[in-house]
Amino acid sequence: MASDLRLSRYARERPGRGRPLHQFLTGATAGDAITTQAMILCRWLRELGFRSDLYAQHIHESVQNDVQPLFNWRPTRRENQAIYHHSIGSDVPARLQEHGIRLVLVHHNVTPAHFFTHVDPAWAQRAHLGAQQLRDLRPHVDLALADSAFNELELRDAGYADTGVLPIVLDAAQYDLLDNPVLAAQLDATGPTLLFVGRLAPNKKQEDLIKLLYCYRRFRPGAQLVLVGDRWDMGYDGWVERLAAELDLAEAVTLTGKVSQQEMVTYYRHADLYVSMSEHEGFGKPLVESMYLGLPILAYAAASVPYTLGEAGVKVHKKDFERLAELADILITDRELRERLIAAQRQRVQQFLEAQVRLKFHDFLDRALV
Amino acid sequence: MKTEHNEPWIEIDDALETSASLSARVEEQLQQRHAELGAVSRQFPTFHGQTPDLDNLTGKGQAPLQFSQLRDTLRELQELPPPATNVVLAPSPVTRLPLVGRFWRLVRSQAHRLVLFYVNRHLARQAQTNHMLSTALHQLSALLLVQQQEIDRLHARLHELEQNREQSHGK
Repeated sequence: MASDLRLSRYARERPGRGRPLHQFLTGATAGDAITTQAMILCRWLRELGFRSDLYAQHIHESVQNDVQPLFNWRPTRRENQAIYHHSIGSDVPARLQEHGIRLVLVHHNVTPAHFFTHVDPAWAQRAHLGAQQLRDLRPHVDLALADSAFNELELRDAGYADTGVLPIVLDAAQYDLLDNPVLAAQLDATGPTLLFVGRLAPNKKQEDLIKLLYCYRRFRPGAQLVLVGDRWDMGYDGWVERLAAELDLAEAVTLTGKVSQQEMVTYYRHADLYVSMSEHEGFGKPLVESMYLGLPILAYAAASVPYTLGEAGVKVHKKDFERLAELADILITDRELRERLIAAQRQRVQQFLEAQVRLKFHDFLDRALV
Repeated sequence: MKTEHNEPWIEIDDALETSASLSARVEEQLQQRHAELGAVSRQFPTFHGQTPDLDNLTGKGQAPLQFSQLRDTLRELQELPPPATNVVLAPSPVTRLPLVGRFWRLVRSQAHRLVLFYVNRHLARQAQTNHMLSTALHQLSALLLVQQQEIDRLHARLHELEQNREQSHGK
């Protein structure tokens, strides 16, 4: 495409050495949607001929070979632009502004502070800071992208005029894996199995899934709930476990913690329904994963969920747990409806695969580069 | 069931099943379930606890003043702002010196952050504890109100019985 040729010429302007276009994040860890997105963008940039590295303020040991510390970055004379992934308040914007770097902003949403005020005031303060920094960055940004239409609305509210949507890309190769046979057999032997993927956090409302399970097991006593996701140091995971015990559901609820990619794919393939009662998702990558791996979705329509699902999946606007249990049962037992939902989801997920997203990225880059 | 804006609570885009038809199936199944098992009567807790409606704490009857004071105190407790946890560095002339200044700025900032890291860990635990205590206080207040209302009702009944007895003795 014309824009690809233009980008490649731009990237290789200096013979034998690509133009620098680095990416900056607040935190980087393996399996995190933002980190994974940045790594994929890094590959695309390098294939175009740019010299592109990842820098982050907080780096988990799982990615320490792929991401460099923020304070190691020293801009070169020719370096005048960078890509900044904004998700929560941090030192990154100040560091970039210190050197007068123009930005392509990628906004991944800041989880509202009120979810954390009573459990982690420091995190809540960083959330407030993140919202403030989003507004303060505006004069330094050449192009503001969001990973969903919901997040694009936030950019508009913060005063950004030139915006676009660059969805989180699903790297299909990471999901075209064989099942873990032992786990698959365990899941097939029990059920029906409800699945949710996401770190245990107050905004994700795993507690409501347990309440739904309580109602569901009244008439499907074998129903299970699997919660795949990191435990976060906020006490919410412990509270969820105590709630399950209080409702006599301790044996029916599994908190897996962090799992391998193969295990995660196995859970998606062998569960019966993906259920989300989350009240805030910046994008909801597990929804895209579920669509790709053929698991029907029942989701509370909050924040970015309806934007990510589009016309696919089944969305609900009220949390009546008895009714939700009946609805879940219909989606699990009505084979024909299930097949139609899976087909619609498979169509929707095409928007998030590499071919489509890369085209958009190249177009945005062409627009943004000076 | 519909939402507060009178919209269907289920949203589906399907060739054969509409929001209305799916909702109707749910209602039909639910009716059967209630006939077989009864409705779910369990009250589920929420992570942040249930904050009773403070306007109910008007204390009509025996202790109106005390309930009003309790309501005002609980409202103040609810509205307490969360503690500030950001780094606040006082200006220092050393930070404006060439070469050394930038290094000193970095050292000061990192030293503050190190202290804040440990302070914030304790602060998080304390914030959780405070919130649990606040939730318990609210729940006790709601219980107190229910008991006071029962006491008021019993007083009224006692008064009625005494009056009836006097009237019957008077005859």
